[in-house]
Amino acid sequence: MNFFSGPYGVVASFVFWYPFLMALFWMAGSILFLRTKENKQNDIDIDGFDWPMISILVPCYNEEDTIMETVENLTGLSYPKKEIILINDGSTDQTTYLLEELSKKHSEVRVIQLEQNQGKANALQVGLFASKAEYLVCVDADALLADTAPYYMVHQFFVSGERVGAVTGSPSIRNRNTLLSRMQLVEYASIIGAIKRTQRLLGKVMTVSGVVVTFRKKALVDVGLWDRDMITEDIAVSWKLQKRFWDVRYEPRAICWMLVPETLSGIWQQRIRWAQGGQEVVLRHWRILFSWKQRRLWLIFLEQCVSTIWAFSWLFITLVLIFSANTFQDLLFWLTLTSFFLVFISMIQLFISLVIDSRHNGVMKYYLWAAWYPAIYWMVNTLVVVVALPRAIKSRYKGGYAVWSSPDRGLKKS
Amino acid sequence: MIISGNRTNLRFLSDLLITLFFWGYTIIVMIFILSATTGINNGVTRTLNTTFKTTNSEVQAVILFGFTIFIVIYLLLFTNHLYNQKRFGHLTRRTYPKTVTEHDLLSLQLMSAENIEKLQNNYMVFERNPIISLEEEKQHEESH
Repeated sequence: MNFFSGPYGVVASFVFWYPFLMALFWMAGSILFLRTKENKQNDIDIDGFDWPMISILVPCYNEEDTIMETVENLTGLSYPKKEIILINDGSTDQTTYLLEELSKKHSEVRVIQLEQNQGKANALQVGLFASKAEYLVCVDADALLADTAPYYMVHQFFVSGERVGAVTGSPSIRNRNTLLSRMQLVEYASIIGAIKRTQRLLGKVMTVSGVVVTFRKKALVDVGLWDRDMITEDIAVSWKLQKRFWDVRYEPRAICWMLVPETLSGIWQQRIRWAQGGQEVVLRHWRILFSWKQRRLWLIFLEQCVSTIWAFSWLFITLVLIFSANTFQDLLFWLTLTSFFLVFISMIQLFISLVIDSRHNGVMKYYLWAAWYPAIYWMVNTLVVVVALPRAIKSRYKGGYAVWSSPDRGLKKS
Repeated sequence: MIISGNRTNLRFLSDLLITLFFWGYTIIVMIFILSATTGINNGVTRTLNTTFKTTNSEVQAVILFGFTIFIVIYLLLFTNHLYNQKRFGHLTRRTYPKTVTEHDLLSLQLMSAENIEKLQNNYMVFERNPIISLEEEKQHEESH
Protein backbone atom coordinates (compact mmCIF):
# COMPACT_ATOMS: atom_id res chain seq x y z
CA MET A 1 0.00 0.00 0.00
CA ASN A 2 1.36 3.39 -0.88
CA PHE A 3 0.37 5.73 1.93
CA PHE A 4 2.92 8.34 1.19
CA SER A 5 4.03 9.82 -2.06
CA GLY A 6 5.32 13.16 -3.21
CA PRO A 7 8.43 15.07 -2.19
CA TYR A 8 7.94 14.55 1.56
CA GLY A 9 6.96 10.87 1.34
CA VAL A 10 9.93 9.62 3.34
CA VAL A 11 9.34 12.05 6.20
CA ALA A 12 5.59 11.36 6.19
CA SER A 13 6.29 7.64 6.18
CA PHE A 14 8.60 8.03 9.18
CA VAL A 15 6.00 10.14 11.00
CA PHE A 16 3.51 7.30 10.64
CA TRP A 17 5.59 4.16 11.04
CA TYR A 18 7.76 5.20 13.99
CA PRO A 19 4.96 5.62 16.57
CA PHE A 20 3.12 2.63 15.07
CA LEU A 21 6.08 0.32 15.50
CA MET A 22 7.08 1.76 18.89
CA ALA A 23 3.57 1.14 20.21
CA LEU A 24 3.98 -2.52 19.21
CA PHE A 25 7.40 -2.55 20.88
CA TRP A 26 6.12 -1.14 24.19
CA MET A 27 3.17 -3.54 24.13
CA ALA A 28 5.35 -6.57 23.50
CA GLY A 29 7.81 -5.46 26.17
CA SER A 30 5.25 -4.82 28.88
CA ILE A 31 3.45 -8.12 28.23
CA LEU A 32 6.74 -10.01 28.37
CA PHE A 33 7.80 -8.15 31.55
CA LEU A 34 4.50 -9.16 33.10
CA ARG A 35 4.98 -12.81 32.12
CA THR A 36 8.64 -13.17 33.01
CA LYS A 37 9.08 -10.80 35.96
CA GLU A 38 5.92 -9.40 37.49
CA ASN A 39 3.96 -12.66 37.62
CA LYS A 40 6.86 -14.41 39.32
CA GLN A 41 7.24 -11.88 42.13
CA ASN A 42 6.31 -13.41 45.44
CA ASP A 43 5.08 -11.36 48.34
CA ILE A 44 7.89 -10.42 50.67
CA ASP A 45 8.11 -11.63 54.25
CA ILE A 46 8.13 -8.30 56.07
CA ASP A 47 8.37 -9.71 59.58
CA GLY A 48 10.98 -12.35 58.80
CA PHE A 49 13.61 -10.07 57.28
CA ASP A 50 16.31 -8.01 58.97
CA TRP A 51 15.59 -4.69 57.29
CA PRO A 52 18.57 -2.32 57.00
CA MET A 53 18.36 1.28 58.07
CA ILE A 54 17.18 3.75 55.44
CA SER A 55 17.53 7.50 55.14
CA ILE A 56 14.55 9.19 53.57
CA LEU A 57 15.71 12.35 51.81
CA VAL A 58 13.15 15.04 51.09
CA PRO A 59 14.41 18.12 49.25
CA CYS A 60 12.08 21.05 49.90
CA TYR A 61 11.73 24.22 47.90
CA ASN A 62 8.67 26.32 48.78
CA GLU A 63 6.67 23.36 50.01
CA GLU A 64 4.52 25.02 52.67
CA ASP A 65 1.32 23.54 51.21
CA THR A 66 2.36 19.92 51.31
CA ILE A 67 5.34 19.31 53.57
CA MET A 68 3.40 18.76 56.82
CA GLU A 69 1.28 16.02 55.24
CA THR A 70 4.33 14.41 53.63
CA VAL A 71 6.27 14.29 56.90
CA GLU A 72 3.24 12.93 58.79
CA ASN A 73 3.08 10.18 56.16
CA LEU A 74 6.79 9.39 56.38
CA THR A 75 6.91 9.34 60.18
CA GLY A 76 3.89 7.04 60.16
CA LEU A 77 5.51 4.42 57.93
CA SER A 78 5.92 1.05 59.61
CA TYR A 79 9.45 0.55 58.22
CA PRO A 80 11.45 -0.26 61.38
CA LYS A 81 14.75 1.62 61.00
CA LYS A 82 14.55 4.99 59.34
CA GLU A 83 15.66 8.58 59.57
CA ILE A 84 13.96 11.38 57.68
CA ILE A 85 16.17 14.17 56.40
CA LEU A 86 14.45 17.33 55.19
CA ILE A 87 16.67 19.61 53.17
CA ASN A 88 15.35 23.12 52.72
CA ASP A 89 16.71 24.39 49.44
CA GLY A 90 16.53 28.12 50.16
CA SER A 91 12.75 28.37 50.30
CA THR A 92 11.23 31.82 50.29
CA ASP A 93 7.87 30.87 51.82
CA GLN A 94 6.99 29.45 55.24
CA THR A 95 8.81 26.14 54.61
CA THR A 96 11.78 27.19 56.76
CA TYR A 97 9.61 27.66 59.86
CA LEU A 98 7.54 24.57 59.21
CA LEU A 99 10.66 22.42 58.96
CA GLU A 100 11.99 23.83 62.22
CA GLU A 101 8.72 22.88 63.91
CA LEU A 102 8.79 19.41 62.39
CA SER A 103 12.32 18.75 63.66
CA LYS A 104 11.16 19.61 67.19
CA LYS A 105 8.06 17.47 66.93
CA HIS A 106 9.52 14.25 65.51
CA SER A 107 12.67 12.65 66.87
CA GLU A 108 13.47 10.78 63.64
CA VAL A 109 13.25 13.98 61.55
CA ARG A 110 16.45 15.89 60.88
CA VAL A 111 16.41 19.25 59.18
CA ILE A 112 19.06 21.01 57.13
CA GLN A 113 18.34 24.60 56.25
CA LEU A 114 20.24 25.85 53.21
CA GLU A 115 19.78 29.56 52.77
CA GLN A 116 20.79 29.57 49.09
CA ASN A 117 18.60 27.90 46.48
CA GLN A 118 20.95 25.80 44.36
CA GLY A 119 18.71 23.11 42.98
CA LYS A 120 17.37 19.69 43.87
CA ALA A 121 20.57 17.82 43.02
CA ASN A 122 22.54 20.06 45.37
CA ALA A 123 19.99 19.47 48.15
CA LEU A 124 20.15 15.71 47.59
CA GLN A 125 23.93 15.80 47.73
CA VAL A 126 23.76 17.56 51.09
CA GLY A 127 21.24 14.96 52.23
CA LEU A 128 23.58 12.14 51.25
CA PHE A 129 26.40 13.61 53.31
CA ALA A 130 24.00 13.93 56.23
CA SER A 131 22.61 10.41 55.99
CA LYS A 132 23.64 7.61 58.31
CA ALA A 133 22.19 4.77 56.24
CA GLU A 134 23.43 2.82 53.21
CA TYR A 135 20.09 3.07 51.41
CA LEU A 136 18.64 6.44 50.50
CA VAL A 137 14.96 6.70 49.72
CA CYS A 138 14.43 9.97 47.84
CA VAL A 139 10.90 11.31 47.89
CA ASP A 140 9.45 14.57 46.59
CA ALA A 141 8.02 16.94 49.17
CA ASP A 142 4.51 16.58 47.76
CA ALA A 143 4.47 12.79 47.68
CA LEU A 144 3.10 10.18 50.06
CA LEU A 145 4.59 6.71 50.26
CA ALA A 146 2.45 3.60 50.53
CA ASP A 147 3.40 1.79 53.73
CA THR A 148 4.85 -1.19 51.86
CA ALA A 149 6.79 0.86 49.31
CA PRO A 150 10.13 1.05 51.20
CA TYR A 151 10.04 -2.71 51.86
CA TYR A 152 9.51 -3.54 48.19
CA MET A 153 12.27 -1.19 47.04
CA VAL A 154 14.86 -2.15 49.66
CA HIS A 155 14.15 -5.86 49.17
CA GLN A 156 15.33 -5.57 45.55
CA PHE A 157 18.87 -4.86 46.78
CA PHE A 158 18.90 -8.27 48.48
CA VAL A 159 17.47 -10.44 45.67
CA SER A 160 20.57 -11.08 43.57
CA GLY A 161 21.03 -7.38 44.04
CA GLU A 162 24.78 -7.01 44.28
CA ARG A 163 24.80 -4.85 41.15
CA VAL A 164 21.65 -2.88 41.96
CA GLY A 165 22.40 0.82 42.33
CA ALA A 166 18.83 2.14 42.35
CA VAL A 167 15.28 0.90 42.51
CA THR A 168 12.57 3.13 41.15
CA GLY A 169 9.04 2.91 42.46
CA SER A 170 5.73 3.48 40.76
CA PRO A 171 4.16 6.94 40.99
CA SER A 172 0.39 7.00 41.25
CA ILE A 173 -1.57 10.21 40.94
CA ARG A 174 -3.49 11.52 43.95
CA ASN A 175 -5.36 14.44 42.49
CA ARG A 176 -8.02 13.06 40.20
CA ASN A 177 -10.48 15.88 40.11
CA THR A 178 -9.77 17.51 36.78
CA LEU A 179 -9.61 16.45 33.20
CA LEU A 180 -5.90 17.20 32.97
CA SER A 181 -5.04 15.16 36.05
CA ARG A 182 -7.09 12.21 34.78
CA MET A 183 -5.35 12.35 31.44
CA GLN A 184 -2.02 12.29 33.23
CA LEU A 185 -3.25 9.40 35.35
CA VAL A 186 -3.81 7.36 32.20
CA GLU A 187 -0.45 8.45 30.84
CA TYR A 188 1.50 7.56 34.00
CA ALA A 189 -0.18 4.19 34.36
CA SER A 190 0.08 3.19 30.73
CA ILE A 191 2.65 5.00 28.64
CA ILE A 192 5.25 5.53 31.38
CA GLY A 193 4.60 2.10 32.94
CA ALA A 194 4.92 0.33 29.58
CA ILE A 195 8.14 2.14 28.71
CA LYS A 196 9.70 1.37 32.12
CA ARG A 197 8.73 -2.30 31.89
CA THR A 198 10.13 -2.72 28.39
CA GLN A 199 13.33 -0.85 29.13
CA ARG A 200 13.84 -2.89 32.27
CA LEU A 201 13.46 -6.01 30.19
CA LEU A 202 16.27 -4.75 27.97
CA GLY A 203 18.42 -4.20 31.04
CA LYS A 204 18.64 -0.38 31.08
CA VAL A 205 16.09 2.31 31.80
CA MET A 206 15.94 5.90 30.62
CA THR A 207 15.31 7.22 34.10
CA VAL A 208 14.31 6.48 37.64
CA SER A 209 11.25 8.38 38.84
CA GLY A 210 12.58 11.34 40.79
CA VAL A 211 9.44 11.34 42.91
CA VAL A 212 10.26 7.95 44.46
CA VAL A 213 13.53 6.10 44.16
CA THR A 214 15.86 4.23 46.48
CA PHE A 215 19.60 4.45 45.90
CA ARG A 216 22.49 2.44 47.23
CA LYS A 217 24.77 5.06 48.73
CA LYS A 218 27.87 3.19 47.54
CA ALA A 219 26.67 3.41 43.94
CA LEU A 220 26.02 7.14 44.19
CA VAL A 221 29.45 7.76 45.68
CA ASP A 222 30.96 5.59 42.93
CA VAL A 223 29.47 7.80 40.20
CA GLY A 224 30.17 11.11 41.94
CA LEU A 225 26.60 11.79 43.15
CA TRP A 226 23.89 13.70 41.28
CA ASP A 227 24.81 16.24 38.59
CA ARG A 228 24.08 19.72 39.89
CA ASP A 229 24.12 21.28 36.43
CA MET A 230 21.47 19.03 34.84
CA ILE A 231 17.85 20.16 34.89
CA THR A 232 16.55 16.65 35.66
CA GLU A 233 18.84 15.11 38.23
CA ASP A 234 16.92 11.81 38.11
CA ILE A 235 17.57 11.20 34.40
CA ALA A 236 21.20 12.29 34.72
CA VAL A 237 21.99 10.05 37.69
CA SER A 238 20.27 7.05 36.05
CA TRP A 239 22.64 7.34 33.12
CA LYS A 240 25.69 7.81 35.32
CA LEU A 241 24.82 4.72 37.34
CA GLN A 242 24.17 2.57 34.29
CA LYS A 243 27.31 3.74 32.55
CA ARG A 244 29.22 2.44 35.56
CA PHE A 245 27.25 -0.85 35.25
CA TRP A 246 25.05 -0.37 38.29
CA ASP A 247 21.61 -1.84 37.67
CA VAL A 248 18.48 0.26 37.89
CA ARG A 249 15.41 -1.81 38.71
CA TYR A 250 11.74 -1.00 38.45
CA GLU A 251 9.46 -2.06 41.29
CA PRO A 252 5.82 -1.51 40.23
CA ARG A 253 4.54 -2.57 43.66
CA ALA A 254 6.29 0.33 45.40
CA ILE A 255 3.49 2.85 45.10
CA CYS A 256 4.08 6.53 45.75
CA TRP A 257 1.13 8.90 45.71
CA MET A 258 1.97 12.15 44.00
CA LEU A 259 0.36 15.36 42.80
CA VAL A 260 0.41 16.47 39.18
CA PRO A 261 -0.16 19.88 37.62
CA GLU A 262 -3.74 20.73 36.81
CA THR A 263 -3.14 23.63 34.49
CA LEU A 264 -1.87 23.59 30.94
CA SER A 265 0.93 25.99 31.80
CA GLY A 266 1.92 23.77 34.74
CA ILE A 267 2.09 20.66 32.54
CA TRP A 268 3.85 22.61 29.82
CA GLN A 269 6.62 23.77 32.21
CA GLN A 270 7.01 20.33 33.73
CA ARG A 271 7.20 18.56 30.38
CA ILE A 272 9.64 21.11 28.96
CA ARG A 273 11.89 20.36 31.92
CA TRP A 274 11.59 16.60 31.40
CA ALA A 275 12.28 16.85 27.67
CA GLN A 276 15.17 19.22 28.24
CA GLY A 277 16.59 16.83 30.85
CA GLY A 278 16.43 13.91 28.42
CA GLN A 279 18.10 15.93 25.69
CA GLU A 280 20.80 17.22 28.05
CA VAL A 281 21.65 13.62 28.91
CA VAL A 282 21.88 12.71 25.23
CA LEU A 283 24.18 15.68 24.64
CA ARG A 284 26.37 14.77 27.60
CA HIS A 285 26.68 11.03 27.04
CA TRP A 286 26.87 10.73 23.23
CA ARG A 287 30.28 9.09 23.47
CA ILE A 288 28.68 5.86 24.67
CA LEU A 289 27.91 5.18 21.01
CA PHE A 290 31.61 4.50 20.49
CA SER A 291 31.92 2.04 23.36
CA TRP A 292 30.94 -1.60 22.82
CA LYS A 293 30.75 -2.04 26.60
CA GLN A 294 27.93 0.52 26.70
CA ARG A 295 25.94 -1.20 23.94
CA ARG A 296 22.98 -1.92 26.21
CA LEU A 297 22.51 1.84 26.62
CA TRP A 298 22.52 2.40 22.86
CA LEU A 299 18.90 1.43 22.42
CA ILE A 300 17.52 3.94 24.90
CA PHE A 301 19.96 6.57 23.68
CA LEU A 302 18.84 6.07 20.08
CA GLU A 303 15.18 5.98 21.08
CA GLN A 304 15.62 9.38 22.73
CA CYS A 305 17.35 10.77 19.61
CA VAL A 306 14.86 9.31 17.13
CA SER A 307 11.92 10.55 19.23
CA THR A 308 13.34 14.07 19.07
CA ILE A 309 13.81 13.80 15.30
CA TRP A 310 10.28 12.44 15.03
CA ALA A 311 8.85 15.45 16.89
CA PHE A 312 10.48 17.81 14.41
CA SER A 313 9.38 15.64 11.48
CA TRP A 314 5.78 15.65 12.70
CA LEU A 315 5.87 19.43 13.04
CA PHE A 316 7.32 19.75 9.56
CA ILE A 317 4.71 17.49 7.95
CA THR A 318 1.91 19.24 9.83
CA LEU A 319 3.09 22.65 8.63
CA VAL A 320 3.39 21.34 5.07
CA LEU A 321 -0.16 20.03 5.34
CA ILE A 322 -1.46 23.33 6.67
CA PHE A 323 0.24 25.46 4.03
CA SER A 324 -0.55 23.18 1.12
CA ALA A 325 -4.21 22.60 2.01
CA ASN A 326 -6.69 23.75 -0.60
CA THR A 327 -9.83 22.97 1.33
CA PHE A 328 -10.82 22.82 4.98
CA GLN A 329 -11.16 19.07 4.63
CA ASP A 330 -7.45 18.81 3.81
CA LEU A 331 -6.66 20.22 7.26
CA LEU A 332 -8.46 17.47 9.14
CA PHE A 333 -5.55 15.15 9.66
CA TRP A 334 -7.56 13.20 12.26
CA LEU A 335 -9.66 11.98 9.35
CA THR A 336 -6.96 10.16 7.42
CA LEU A 337 -6.25 6.47 7.20
CA THR A 338 -2.84 6.82 8.88
CA SER A 339 -4.38 8.73 11.80
CA PHE A 340 -6.97 5.98 12.14
CA PHE A 341 -4.26 3.33 12.37
CA LEU A 342 -2.34 5.36 14.96
CA VAL A 343 -5.45 5.94 17.07
CA PHE A 344 -6.29 2.24 16.85
CA ILE A 345 -2.86 1.04 17.92
CA SER A 346 -2.62 3.72 20.60
CA MET A 347 -5.94 2.71 22.20
CA ILE A 348 -4.87 -0.93 22.26
CA GLN A 349 -1.55 0.00 23.86
CA LEU A 350 -3.27 2.16 26.48
CA PHE A 351 -5.71 -0.65 27.24
CA ILE A 352 -3.06 -3.34 27.65
CA SER A 353 -0.80 -1.12 29.73
CA LEU A 354 -3.66 -0.04 31.98
CA VAL A 355 -4.71 -3.65 32.54
CA ILE A 356 -1.15 -4.50 33.58
CA ASP A 357 -0.69 -1.46 35.84
CA SER A 358 -4.15 -1.81 37.32
CA ARG A 359 -3.00 -4.92 39.18
CA HIS A 360 -1.12 -2.60 41.54
CA ASN A 361 -3.19 0.55 41.70
CA GLY A 362 -6.66 -0.17 40.26
CA VAL A 363 -6.63 2.55 37.60
CA MET A 364 -8.52 0.64 34.91
CA LYS A 365 -11.68 2.69 35.35
CA TYR A 366 -9.80 5.76 34.15
CA TYR A 367 -9.66 4.26 30.64
CA LEU A 368 -12.66 6.48 30.03
CA TRP A 369 -10.26 9.41 29.85
CA ALA A 370 -7.85 7.61 27.50
CA ALA A 371 -9.62 8.89 24.37
CA TRP A 372 -7.88 12.23 24.81
CA TYR A 373 -4.45 10.75 24.39
CA PRO A 374 -4.47 9.78 20.68
CA ALA A 375 -6.71 12.71 19.81
CA ILE A 376 -4.93 15.65 21.43
CA TYR A 377 -2.68 15.05 24.41
CA TRP A 378 0.37 13.61 22.63
CA MET A 379 0.58 16.75 20.50
CA VAL A 380 1.43 18.79 23.58
CA ASN A 381 4.20 16.34 24.42
CA THR A 382 5.52 16.53 20.87
CA LEU A 383 5.60 20.32 20.81
CA VAL A 384 7.34 20.24 24.18
CA VAL A 385 10.22 18.25 22.66
CA VAL A 386 10.60 20.83 19.90
CA VAL A 387 10.66 23.74 22.34
CA ALA A 388 12.99 21.98 24.79
CA LEU A 389 15.81 21.24 22.32
CA PRO A 390 17.21 24.78 22.00
CA ARG A 391 16.97 25.12 25.79
CA ALA A 392 18.94 21.91 26.27
CA ILE A 393 21.65 23.07 23.87
CA LYS A 394 21.81 26.47 25.53
CA SER A 395 21.94 24.92 28.98
CA ARG A 396 24.80 22.57 27.98
CA TYR A 397 26.67 25.51 26.53
CA LYS A 398 26.06 27.83 29.47
CA GLY A 399 26.47 25.39 32.40
CA GLY A 400 25.79 26.46 36.00
CA TYR A 401 23.39 25.26 38.66
CA ALA A 402 20.13 23.78 37.42
CA VAL A 403 17.52 25.60 39.47
CA TRP A 404 13.80 25.41 38.79
CA SER A 405 10.48 25.98 40.49
CA SER A 406 8.02 23.20 41.13
CA PRO A 407 5.03 23.25 38.80
CA ASP A 408 1.61 23.77 40.30
CA ARG A 409 0.47 20.80 42.37
CA GLY A 410 -3.16 20.84 41.42
CA LEU A 411 -6.22 21.82 43.34
CA LYS A 412 -6.40 21.50 47.07
CA LYS A 413 -8.74 19.19 48.86
CA SER A 414 -12.27 20.44 49.04
CA MET B 1 -5.05 9.84 50.04
CA ILE B 2 -6.86 10.42 46.75
CA ILE B 3 -8.05 13.98 46.21
CA SER B 4 -11.37 14.12 44.44
CA GLY B 5 -14.24 16.56 44.46
CA ASN B 6 -13.71 20.30 44.32
CA ARG B 7 -15.19 20.28 40.86
CA THR B 8 -18.49 21.76 39.80
CA ASN B 9 -21.03 19.49 38.12
CA LEU B 10 -21.07 21.80 35.12
CA ARG B 11 -17.31 21.44 34.69
CA PHE B 12 -17.52 17.68 35.09
CA LEU B 13 -20.33 17.52 32.56
CA SER B 14 -18.38 19.54 30.01
CA ASP B 15 -15.30 17.33 30.51
CA LEU B 16 -17.47 14.27 30.06
CA LEU B 17 -19.16 15.56 26.94
CA ILE B 18 -15.90 16.43 25.18
CA THR B 19 -14.44 13.09 26.25
CA LEU B 20 -17.49 11.32 24.86
CA PHE B 21 -17.02 13.24 21.62
CA PHE B 22 -13.48 11.86 21.37
CA TRP B 23 -14.82 8.43 22.26
CA GLY B 24 -17.28 8.79 19.40
CA TYR B 25 -14.36 9.38 17.07
CA THR B 26 -12.39 6.51 18.65
CA ILE B 27 -15.32 4.12 18.31
CA ILE B 28 -15.69 4.98 14.61
CA VAL B 29 -11.96 4.23 14.22
CA MET B 30 -12.37 0.91 16.04
CA ILE B 31 -15.47 -0.10 14.06
CA PHE B 32 -13.81 0.79 10.77
CA ILE B 33 -10.54 -1.04 11.39
CA LEU B 34 -12.08 -4.09 13.05
CA SER B 35 -14.80 -4.39 10.39
CA ALA B 36 -12.38 -3.91 7.54
CA THR B 37 -9.95 -6.40 9.08
CA THR B 38 -12.62 -9.05 9.53
CA GLY B 39 -14.14 -8.26 6.15
CA ILE B 40 -17.53 -7.30 7.58
CA ASN B 41 -18.82 -4.50 5.44
CA ASN B 42 -21.14 -1.93 6.93
CA GLY B 43 -21.97 1.71 6.46
CA VAL B 44 -18.84 2.88 8.25
CA THR B 45 -16.42 0.73 6.22
CA ARG B 46 -18.13 1.59 2.94
CA THR B 47 -18.11 5.33 3.64
CA LEU B 48 -14.58 5.46 4.96
CA ASN B 49 -13.12 3.16 2.34
CA THR B 50 -14.53 5.54 -0.26
CA THR B 51 -13.26 8.63 1.59
CA PHE B 52 -9.78 7.17 2.09
CA LYS B 53 -9.75 5.62 -1.40
CA THR B 54 -8.82 2.31 0.16
CA THR B 55 -10.16 -1.26 0.38
CA ASN B 56 -10.64 -3.79 3.15
CA SER B 57 -7.73 -5.84 1.90
CA GLU B 58 -5.37 -2.86 2.26
CA VAL B 59 -6.48 -2.33 5.85
CA GLN B 60 -6.08 -6.07 6.46
CA ALA B 61 -2.54 -5.89 5.06
CA VAL B 62 -1.50 -3.17 7.53
CA ILE B 63 -3.09 -4.94 10.50
CA LEU B 64 -1.51 -8.25 9.50
CA PHE B 65 1.84 -6.51 9.11
CA GLY B 66 1.43 -4.92 12.56
CA PHE B 67 0.50 -8.24 14.12
CA THR B 68 3.49 -9.96 12.49
CA ILE B 69 5.84 -7.23 13.70
CA PHE B 70 4.38 -7.56 17.20
CA ILE B 71 5.08 -11.31 17.22
CA VAL B 72 8.60 -10.75 15.86
CA ILE B 73 9.37 -8.11 18.52
CA TYR B 74 7.94 -10.32 21.24
CA LEU B 75 10.02 -13.30 20.12
CA LEU B 76 13.15 -11.17 19.83
CA LEU B 77 12.68 -9.80 23.34
CA PHE B 78 11.93 -13.28 24.65
CA THR B 79 15.02 -14.71 22.96
CA ASN B 80 17.09 -11.91 24.45
CA HIS B 81 15.59 -12.70 27.86
CA LEU B 82 16.42 -16.42 27.52
CA TYR B 83 19.93 -15.65 26.28
CA ASN B 84 20.61 -13.35 29.23
CA GLN B 85 19.24 -15.90 31.66
CA LYS B 86 21.35 -18.71 30.24
CA ARG B 87 24.50 -16.69 29.67
CA PHE B 88 24.55 -14.55 32.79
CA GLY B 89 21.78 -15.79 35.11
CA HIS B 90 23.91 -18.14 37.17
CA LEU B 91 26.82 -15.73 37.54
CA THR B 92 27.48 -13.65 40.59
CA ARG B 93 29.61 -11.04 39.02
CA ARG B 94 30.17 -8.93 42.08
CA THR B 95 30.15 -9.43 45.76
CA TYR B 96 27.90 -7.13 47.74
CA PRO B 97 29.48 -3.69 47.89
CA LYS B 98 31.06 -2.56 51.13
CA THR B 99 29.47 0.24 53.11
CA VAL B 100 30.46 3.82 52.44
CA THR B 101 33.20 5.11 54.74
CA GLU B 102 34.06 8.66 55.73
CA HIS B 103 37.13 8.28 53.55
CA ASP B 104 34.89 7.51 50.54
CA LEU B 105 32.87 10.65 51.21
CA LEU B 106 35.94 12.83 51.63
CA SER B 107 37.49 11.41 48.46
CA LEU B 108 34.63 12.97 46.50
CA GLN B 109 36.25 16.31 47.40
CA LEU B 110 32.87 17.97 47.60
CA MET B 111 32.66 18.75 51.28
CA SER B 112 34.98 19.25 54.24
CA ALA B 113 35.09 16.77 57.14
CA GLU B 114 33.94 19.60 59.40
CA ASN B 115 30.78 20.18 57.39
CA ILE B 116 30.05 16.45 57.17
CA GLU B 117 30.22 16.31 60.95
CA LYS B 118 27.94 19.33 61.25
CA LEU B 119 25.40 17.65 58.99
CA GLN B 120 25.02 14.81 61.43
CA ASN B 121 23.32 17.22 63.87
CA ASN B 122 19.60 17.23 64.34
CA TYR B 123 19.02 20.78 63.11
CA MET B 124 21.51 22.69 61.05
CA VAL B 125 21.46 26.00 59.26
CA PHE B 126 23.96 26.74 56.50
CA GLU B 127 24.19 30.30 55.29
CA ARG B 128 26.51 29.17 52.52
CA ASN B 129 26.22 25.95 50.58
CA PRO B 130 28.35 23.38 52.47
CA ILE B 131 29.29 21.71 49.18
CA ILE B 132 32.00 23.22 47.04
CA SER B 133 30.86 25.34 44.12
CA LEU B 134 30.36 23.92 40.63
CA GLU B 135 33.39 25.86 39.41
CA GLU B 136 35.61 24.32 42.06
CA GLU B 137 34.18 20.89 41.29
CA LYS B 138 35.05 21.35 37.61
CA GLN B 139 38.58 22.42 38.54
CA HIS B 140 38.96 19.23 40.61
CA GLU B 141 37.73 17.10 37.73
CA GLU B 142 40.09 18.76 35.27
CA SER B 143 43.07 18.38 37.59
CA HIS B 144 42.49 14.58 37.76
